[in-house]
Amino acid sequence: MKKTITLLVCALTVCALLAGCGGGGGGEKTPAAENTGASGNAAPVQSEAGSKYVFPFKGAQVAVNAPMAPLVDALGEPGDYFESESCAFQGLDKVYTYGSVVIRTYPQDGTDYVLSVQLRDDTVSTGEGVYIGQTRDDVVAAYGEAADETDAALRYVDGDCTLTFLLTDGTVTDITYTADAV
Amino acid sequence: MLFTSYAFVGFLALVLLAYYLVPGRFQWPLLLLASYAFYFAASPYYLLFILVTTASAWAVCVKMEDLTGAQKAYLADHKDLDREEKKAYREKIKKRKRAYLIAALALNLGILAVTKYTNFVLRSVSSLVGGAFQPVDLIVPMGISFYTFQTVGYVIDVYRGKQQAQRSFFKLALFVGFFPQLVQGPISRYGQLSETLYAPHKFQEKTFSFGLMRILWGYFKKVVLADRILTGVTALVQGGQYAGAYVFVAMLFYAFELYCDFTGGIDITIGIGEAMGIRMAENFDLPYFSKNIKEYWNRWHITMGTWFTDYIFYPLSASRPMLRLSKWSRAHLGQKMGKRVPVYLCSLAVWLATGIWHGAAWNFVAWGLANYVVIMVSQELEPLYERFHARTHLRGKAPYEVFQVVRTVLLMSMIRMFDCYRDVPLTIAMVGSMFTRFDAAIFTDGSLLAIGLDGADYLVLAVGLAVVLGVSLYKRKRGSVREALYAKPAGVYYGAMALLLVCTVVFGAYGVGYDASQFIYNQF
Amino acid sequence: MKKRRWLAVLLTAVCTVGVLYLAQRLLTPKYQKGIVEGSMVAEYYDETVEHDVVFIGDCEVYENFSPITLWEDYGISSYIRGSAQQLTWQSYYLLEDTLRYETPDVVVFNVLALKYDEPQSEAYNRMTIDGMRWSRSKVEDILASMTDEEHFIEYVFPLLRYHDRWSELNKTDVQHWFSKDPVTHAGYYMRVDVQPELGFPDPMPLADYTLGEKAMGYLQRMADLCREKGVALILIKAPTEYPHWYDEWDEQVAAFAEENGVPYINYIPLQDDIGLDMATDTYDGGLHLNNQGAEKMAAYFGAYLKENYDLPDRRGEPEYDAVWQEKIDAYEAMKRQQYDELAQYGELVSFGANAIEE
Repeated sequence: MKKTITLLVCALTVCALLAGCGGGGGGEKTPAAENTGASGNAAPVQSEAGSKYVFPFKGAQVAVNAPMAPLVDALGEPGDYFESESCAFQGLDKVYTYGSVVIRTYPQDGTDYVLSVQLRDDTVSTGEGVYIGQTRDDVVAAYGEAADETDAALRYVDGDCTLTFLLTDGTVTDITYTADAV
Repeated sequence: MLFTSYAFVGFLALVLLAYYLVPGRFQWPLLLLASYAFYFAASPYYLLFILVTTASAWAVCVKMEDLTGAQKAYLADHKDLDREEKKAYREKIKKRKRAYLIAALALNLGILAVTKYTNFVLRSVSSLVGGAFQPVDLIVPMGISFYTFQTVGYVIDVYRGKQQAQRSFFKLALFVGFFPQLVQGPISRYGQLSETLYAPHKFQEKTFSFGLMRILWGYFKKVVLADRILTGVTALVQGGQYAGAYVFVAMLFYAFELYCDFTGGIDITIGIGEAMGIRMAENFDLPYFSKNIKEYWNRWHITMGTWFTDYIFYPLSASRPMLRLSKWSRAHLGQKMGKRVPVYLCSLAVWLATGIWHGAAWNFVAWGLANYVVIMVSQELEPLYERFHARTHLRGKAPYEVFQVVRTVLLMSMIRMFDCYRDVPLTIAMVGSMFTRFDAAIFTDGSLLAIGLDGADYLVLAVGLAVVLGVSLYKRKRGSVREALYAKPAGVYYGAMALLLVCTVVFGAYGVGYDASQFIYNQF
Repeated sequence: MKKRRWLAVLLTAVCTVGVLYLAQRLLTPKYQKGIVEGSMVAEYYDETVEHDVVFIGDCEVYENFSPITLWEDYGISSYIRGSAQQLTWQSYYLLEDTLRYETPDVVVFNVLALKYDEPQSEAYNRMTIDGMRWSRSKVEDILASMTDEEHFIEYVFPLLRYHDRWSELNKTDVQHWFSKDPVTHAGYYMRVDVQPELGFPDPMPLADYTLGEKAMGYLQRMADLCREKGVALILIKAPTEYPHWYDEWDEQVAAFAEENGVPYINYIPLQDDIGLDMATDTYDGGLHLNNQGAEKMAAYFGAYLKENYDLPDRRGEPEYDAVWQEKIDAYEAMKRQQYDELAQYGELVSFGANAIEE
């Protein structure tokens, strides 16, 4: 009996040790993959990565990597619109200007998606209430310490979006949501 | 290294080449080396896991066998012992062996449980108590369910005295880690696989080309058919906006996809073995030709089914508490009913285990239960069927058999929807909508061209389905297609192989624009 | 018997390879109409005379300079080794590749691509690299350029990349199964239509204006290679203004040029000197010059070359005359065809977007 217990204890210890190897390993599943269970590959649910950084504008929620068409429906015709054909007809890059806000798109499989959202003056502010003209400390108060900070910029990353605050002498001069490569 | 990666194809070519270049006695060590390289390439950590499993199984089995040997020697030396003394001695040895067995099982099943099910348990618990779920970051070694089961089976066989222990650590390591079957089975039995695994094999045109043909056939099913229809399945089951008749389509597509994916993968696996003269257990026997669910489960993922039967169902049925329960229920519920109680209980355990083995999620538990219920119900209704058959004389008639086969496929496909949708409630809602909101218009108004599959895709799928069906029918009626081709002139035989290759390369759904979809069964 | 079986194996293998080869030729895009950029890199290998000036870069060279004008006005034999969104390292490896065939006096590199420091797009990679002949340069180019979704072997066997085109094969694929028509004029992509420039959106301010290490590293290698081979390198920024060329970038390139003792000319502020009128000299709203603009640009640049470099006037050399006359004929013919189409349809139908085959 004693031997059984000893062996069992040894076995469980090894178990625990091995299980503790997590984290550093190469092939562990991400929680997202876990969610889809083993059917993940039979029916992979598209990564709804998204980001908590979303720009509220004219009653719409503007998010990077979202399709542009519904946004145009919601925001109306832009004040200014520019498009440029990329080399060898790989699609149109489009720039929609709505007053203080500039939305750029990229094409993929025939649909335009939001590439970036740029806030250009203090008449608009981010979802967390930051606007141009505020100080670095205001940004940090709203967003916490930046993932990446230089004298010229504060950068926050969440999901598929990078939110950048450009600074000149500690004052916010430009705010841009940018889609990370998907 | 997925089977469908360029890297694996290159790796395989090298291994096959090397296998026939080295002297026979170096063939199995070469395979061990290759297997560990394969596993190492996936992640060095995985190697650690498989080494622990191998080492524990090796040590425990050698020890158990030594104990048996010692017992024999002792009893031979002590012929003067009386019966009681002999029995006591045997009991003592048995207990010690049992201790080793339990330790080995606890360790290996423990690793499996911890790596695969920790997050499942945590999530379930936290959703019960309403806390926020924070998944623990764990390594889940590739194919751990498969090699753990295989190893556990071996250990139990040695314990039962059905199997001699493999005293060479490295040979056992090859059995546990043999790369073709590492990721998705079949779950081999040591007794069967060891017959050909370690033996030297000379190159033989027939064996080698048969293996190659089967590998190509597997790739054809996987890359041309399964991966192509996957796009449609994915579109249909995502989010849940495709209800009604779409669910029916998704159900059939998924049935087709899973079949091609899984049997394709197994064909590649077994084909690799064949090309090297190694015989592995068959895992499928034309499952979609089954006439009832029980038969289906005898023909689908066979090695898993027999594993559960041999290592869970029987031991559980013969366990002391079960026997006691059996006695009790027979006394209280009558012979007929009483006999069933333990059987049903054991089956329930097996199906729960089967479900959870497929995936750490409630979907799979529900799926296992659904299978259990259907099998039990059909077993209960057996006398009714018998009477029906006796009265109508339908049994054995071709149209009726076709009906039975179609019914079984549809039923199984429907149950399988549990592992398609995000969760159980959604599955039930969607499958329900198939009956309440079936709108046949989608078949004619072009809706099916808007789920990521175009006309060309459907053409490939239709032709592919016809080919797969044709081959299956031939196999059922006449036997091996390869043998039949081999009997033809060599040009025809090799031409068929070349055709398979060209079709796979050109019509395969791989490369830029396709997600490298893993074999579904890699994850179990 | 045994022998015959092996013969069958051998024969089948040979046939299979043959079929796969034919399939590969058929399925690989031909880039003959509409999107012709994928044909550019390979066309260079058909050249028979040497070039004294070689341009390398992206669309800002192959659409903005007319080598025909350089020949006609100055007797300069030149070639443009450009392709769509040609990244800096791709330009470097194309330079290496070019230097295996000839050693020009001058190499001109357009600096816009320095803004990209990472592989960008699989489609552009293929258009730029597929046409290269195999060499170490090509191998290294592929390795430097691949995006995550790409595999080296798909460059070795393009069938693995393009197999899926079986359902979209068109007439051109069959017509040009085994041969291709030239689409450029010494690497120049001609467009004669006009779409005036109407202004561009304001440039987005950047968090970091530093040009990437990888791109600048390859620019350095380019400079070093030219020095080693005795080739004069000229850095230019074409006169077109979109995508925006930031002053901060300009300064970095200027500093690089100074350090390396090579000239750097930004032509954006020189639009008036060149004589460019962006209301008439562009075909796509100011992104690229049209034929008229490219001829002006070439005339202007040719004068600079003549003045600063000792380039031979090849006019009168029979071999060159013959080759360039052929090019001029093709050039004029295409020009005529394009103007005819404009007159008849109001837009180009055999070139550009309208010519893309679905």
